[in-house]
Amino acid sequence: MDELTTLAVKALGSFGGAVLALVFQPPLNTRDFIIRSVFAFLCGVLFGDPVRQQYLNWPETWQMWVASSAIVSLASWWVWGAAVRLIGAYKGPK
Amino acid sequence: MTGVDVSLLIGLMLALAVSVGNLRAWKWLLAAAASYVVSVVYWRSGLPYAAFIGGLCDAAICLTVYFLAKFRWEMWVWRLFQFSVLVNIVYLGGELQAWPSLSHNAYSIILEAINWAALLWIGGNGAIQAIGATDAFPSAGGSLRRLRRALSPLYRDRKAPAFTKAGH
Repeated sequence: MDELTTLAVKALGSFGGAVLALVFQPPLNTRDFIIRSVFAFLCGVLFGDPVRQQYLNWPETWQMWVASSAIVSLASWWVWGAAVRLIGAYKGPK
Repeated sequence: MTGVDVSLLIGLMLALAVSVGNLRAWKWLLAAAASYVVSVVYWRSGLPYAAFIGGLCDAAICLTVYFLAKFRWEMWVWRLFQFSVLVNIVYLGGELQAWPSLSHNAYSIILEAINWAALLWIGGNGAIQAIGATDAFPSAGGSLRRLRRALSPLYRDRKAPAFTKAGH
């Protein structure tokens, strides 16, 4: 599989993960949606494969690339939301 | 068509019949039926990753309900199909050997249970709204009034609007 196809497979997985995240945890508003989507997509593309190799120990097939990118994308969507809420909760009084 | 399909079809007809006049209920019933037909036809055609297609159909219903729902009872349809998406993901992961697999029987039984729960929930709430039981009726007696009070939050507008309609 050439590099461009690999990237396309990872992008597909990340997109799928972001859609799943939207199904399970909708954002608060459009701004939050855009930020989370971009963050989750980039995390899925960049960290999907390293996570598959290092932590999940899944075989090197295109299905596993898609799955690992989707899982990383889904997790990063959730992490972003949790981080924003935590930071918001600890904001000092106005 | 198998016995399961026929019984679901009869259930769908009954749910449509009791909720005549409630277009919102009809919309969700027909969406659920379409999702079932697409996933079952794909599954029986023997094509790979049928759980993926099933999950995709359920995710489409989830998103449609999330964006278009008006009442709180409709948001429970969203929750129900979220669970269905989750079951499909678990089964698909097992099929790909990413984690221990869920048996096909357990998968089918859970999905059937979700389909029946959706039919009962949408049909029941659709019927209650269609006959106007959620409107004020001061002449209603004690137990009926208590039941109405218990159910009334379900027919209020949903708590949070879809994110596209929310302010910044």
